[in-house]
Amino acid sequence: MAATAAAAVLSSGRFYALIGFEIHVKLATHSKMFSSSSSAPAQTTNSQVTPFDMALPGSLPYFNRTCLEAGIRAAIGLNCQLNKISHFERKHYFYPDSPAGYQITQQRYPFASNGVFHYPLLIKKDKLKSSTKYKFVDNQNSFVIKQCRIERIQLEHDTGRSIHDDHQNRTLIDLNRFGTGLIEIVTKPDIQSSLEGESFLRELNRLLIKYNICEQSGLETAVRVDANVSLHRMNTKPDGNRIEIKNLGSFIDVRQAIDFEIKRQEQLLTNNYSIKNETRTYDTNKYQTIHLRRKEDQIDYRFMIEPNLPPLYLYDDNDKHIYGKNFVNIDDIKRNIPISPLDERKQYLDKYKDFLTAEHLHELLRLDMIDYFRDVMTHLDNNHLRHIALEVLLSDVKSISYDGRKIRKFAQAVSPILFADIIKHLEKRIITRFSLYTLLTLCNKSRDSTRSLKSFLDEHNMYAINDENELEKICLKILEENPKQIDRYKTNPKKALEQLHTSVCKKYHGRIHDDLVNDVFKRLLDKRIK
Amino acid sequence: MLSNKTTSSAVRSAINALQHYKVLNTLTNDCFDKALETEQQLSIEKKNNSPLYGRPILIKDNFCLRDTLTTCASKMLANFRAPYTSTIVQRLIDHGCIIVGKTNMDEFAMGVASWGAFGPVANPWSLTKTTMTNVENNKTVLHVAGGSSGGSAAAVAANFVSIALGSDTGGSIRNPAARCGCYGFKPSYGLLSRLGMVALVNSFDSPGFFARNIDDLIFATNAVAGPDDEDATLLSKPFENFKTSNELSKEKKKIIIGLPDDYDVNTLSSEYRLCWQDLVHRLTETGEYTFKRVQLPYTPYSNAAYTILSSCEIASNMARYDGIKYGHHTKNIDKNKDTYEDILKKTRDESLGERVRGRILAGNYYLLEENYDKYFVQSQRVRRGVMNDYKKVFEEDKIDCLLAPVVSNDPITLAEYEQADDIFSEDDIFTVGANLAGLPALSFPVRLSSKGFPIGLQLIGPFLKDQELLSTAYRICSTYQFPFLDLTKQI
Repeated sequence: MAATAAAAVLSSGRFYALIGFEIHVKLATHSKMFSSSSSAPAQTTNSQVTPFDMALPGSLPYFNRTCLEAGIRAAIGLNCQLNKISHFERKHYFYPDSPAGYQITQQRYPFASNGVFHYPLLIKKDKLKSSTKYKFVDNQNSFVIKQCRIERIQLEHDTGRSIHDDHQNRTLIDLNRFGTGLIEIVTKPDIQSSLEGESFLRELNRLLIKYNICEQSGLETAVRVDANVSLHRMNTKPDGNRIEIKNLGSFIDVRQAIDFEIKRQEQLLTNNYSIKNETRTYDTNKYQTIHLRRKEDQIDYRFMIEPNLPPLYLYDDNDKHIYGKNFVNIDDIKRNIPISPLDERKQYLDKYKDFLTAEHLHELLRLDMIDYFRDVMTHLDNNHLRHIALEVLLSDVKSISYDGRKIRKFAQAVSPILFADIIKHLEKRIITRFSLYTLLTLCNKSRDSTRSLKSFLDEHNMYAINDENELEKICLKILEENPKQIDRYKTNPKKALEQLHTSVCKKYHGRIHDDLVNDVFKRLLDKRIK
Repeated sequence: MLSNKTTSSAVRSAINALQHYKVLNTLTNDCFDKALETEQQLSIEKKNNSPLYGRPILIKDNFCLRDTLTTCASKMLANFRAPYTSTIVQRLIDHGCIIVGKTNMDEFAMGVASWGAFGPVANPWSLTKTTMTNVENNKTVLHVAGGSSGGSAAAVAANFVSIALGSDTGGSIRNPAARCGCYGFKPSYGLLSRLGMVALVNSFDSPGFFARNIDDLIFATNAVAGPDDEDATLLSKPFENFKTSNELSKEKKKIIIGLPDDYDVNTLSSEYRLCWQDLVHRLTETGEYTFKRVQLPYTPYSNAAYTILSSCEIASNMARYDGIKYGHHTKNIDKNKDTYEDILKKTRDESLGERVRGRILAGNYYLLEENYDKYFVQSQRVRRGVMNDYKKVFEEDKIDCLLAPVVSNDPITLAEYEQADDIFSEDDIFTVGANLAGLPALSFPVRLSSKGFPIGLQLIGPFLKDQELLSTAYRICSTYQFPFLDLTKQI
């Protein structure tokens, strides 16, 4: 298993890894970065193409303001320095999905640079306690917060889509995606393991969605990652060589590709080969990276300043001459930016300090349940209910959502309102704690997310039995069916009650309150003895 | 102006002239039928009072016009019909201009002879040379019309139309205007929208006009200048119309004109130098002009900087011509063997001319990572030097405008041009400076040479002082009469 192999390499003390990312984020704007066509995904092929998008002779780019604003929000969220003058450049290469023969990007003069991003390390609780590596933990109740420096952020646009038709030996091009706005975030190689990499990317993803920089859409992946990985012997300086792994599409792919690379490079180093610059791609089926091209084949992109776009000037409150004019003001954007995920979590710890600990929050984060938790909390109006909800989230929901992997599906099927309703019913003892797992599973499986809780309870008869008389009837019946236990009660009352409890629960799945039924049995049995 | 008589039609006259003088090869393709229709419509509608209303005009074939062939005189775009119209052309149409055809040019606007894939434009003055006939076939010897907007220049010079649209990147309006004997105006960079004009060198390209009098230049420029929402290199402030000679105050202030020593080069023929000097003397005598010799020390380097910067942008702008989206696509495909790169190479080899390919090659060389600083960036520094030269002369030396040559000698014959091997012309030294610095410049005919060809000179003005430049040109040109050609009289 690549993960354990890589972990072994890193914890052996003989090697260290340097990992950096180049992350392409698709900006959530209505139109494209340099043309007025819509950037909506999954539209009819080649229906969103202006003259500029297909590089018609005479066409010109015109910069989209909302792309700039989204980029500035990203720069602020990543604590970058905003460069008040930056330039667009052309990056030349021939490929069918690039109609002009070049991409407009910011190579030499990006609009943001020198930032740092703090992210919580997502590690399972038990591993956290046992591992000696994570000596950054001051107390077990706090998050391990790591940091990764950001080298630069640049504005650029996306290419079209190539669809390779092997049967008819041709490639089809869809230019709908061409020209949609992107930012590329380049980090410094501060990431030291696949775990750190995944944690970083998850927190970054939260920030990008929260700041409305990209969309969380099922139609197209908004975020694509290239990873640069190099392994070095401990106490040696890095020589600048690294392996670039292109186009990783999911968090799991990133994790596995990095782990594979670490193990592969360890083999090379151990056999006295050195790491040379190389570009590789990740095979999701075989869980391995594959060679793509060597350094000598690296392409010279002939970067040239884009002559049709003047230099990009950014302004802030100090630039008085822009007052009254409708220019983008960095300080304005700063004032209106939403709270960062990091600060928001601190707020939760404070707001819900009666029952929420850092450890809880960390687990919610690891399970990708923070948003769901937040929404559920708003539908419950006292801390007692909220505490119950938290406990259910971290047990039943954790299990039903496969340790958070299917949490998105769960959140869609079981809306926060429905969940809150369930918790209220639980608190009122209309349903029992034991019925929750089954109930939640049923709701999760249902295709109709608008169904009321009542309809579920009615259909599957899941109401707790609260009526004393009814309960007594049931218990009497159970006693009749289990005469042995009546006798046993005289000598071993505890065991007898347990057995009776088991029997009644078997018969009335999840509808029995432990304390109620125990009391009833005790009363009935004591009466008999008398 | 629109005629009331049903028998005479300005468009019809233009069409007759163009067809009669097909030998000059001024058009790449025509819009004759549509033009006649439009003329009919306009005479009924009577939409506006624009001085251009109903005027037949020609536009250079590097301006897109919806559903019309826009070829740039290249095999690559020989079948290209633009799905949209360039801003400038649309504004002309909105003013009531009638587009009669697209004019011939150098391929993709590269060159000074207007000789692209559809053959050369001939200088209309060749037809006045009854003594010059080819001994072998008794045909009139034809001469170059200048370039790259030769078709537009020739048509206006011969009076087929009164106004034509061209483009000037390194002199492509001023050069053919001087060769053919008409006015050629390149406004300040950033006044006229380039949307829809096929890009050659985005940093230098400027649309501009040919005309037979300066007021027409003003009417045409007024109709089209000003911001649009799609060209980010335009000045954003609204455009104030230029005033014509009638509208300006009659008060005549003294004009100080600079004579750049660095433009007085060896290659300038004595006849052409004499024309320059004679004009200076004549104007001095009127008492309204003072002439000062000025220095533009970066001039000898301007050609090199222009060459490098233009090659780089050309290589970049030409990268889009792959035949996949539009344009020529090779038919010579080996389905079993050919890769994307192979097909691309064949397509471009087959359809791009030698001069174009040469510039692309050079540009790609200069843009290599290891060369970018040495060539591109260094050329930009030289360019700044050129700009500062002009700035100093205009601001510190208090010069109103400069008077300089445009070409150094009479045009050579088409046969001689075919033998020659140059990629760049030595005359570029006169014209590229104004493009490097984005300055307004106007070429005007002065007199005929001893062999009977027009000799032209140019005025170069400070950035955004186009109004002053046009007024000065008007004043200078009213001090003499140039014998404009009119080939329509002989039909």
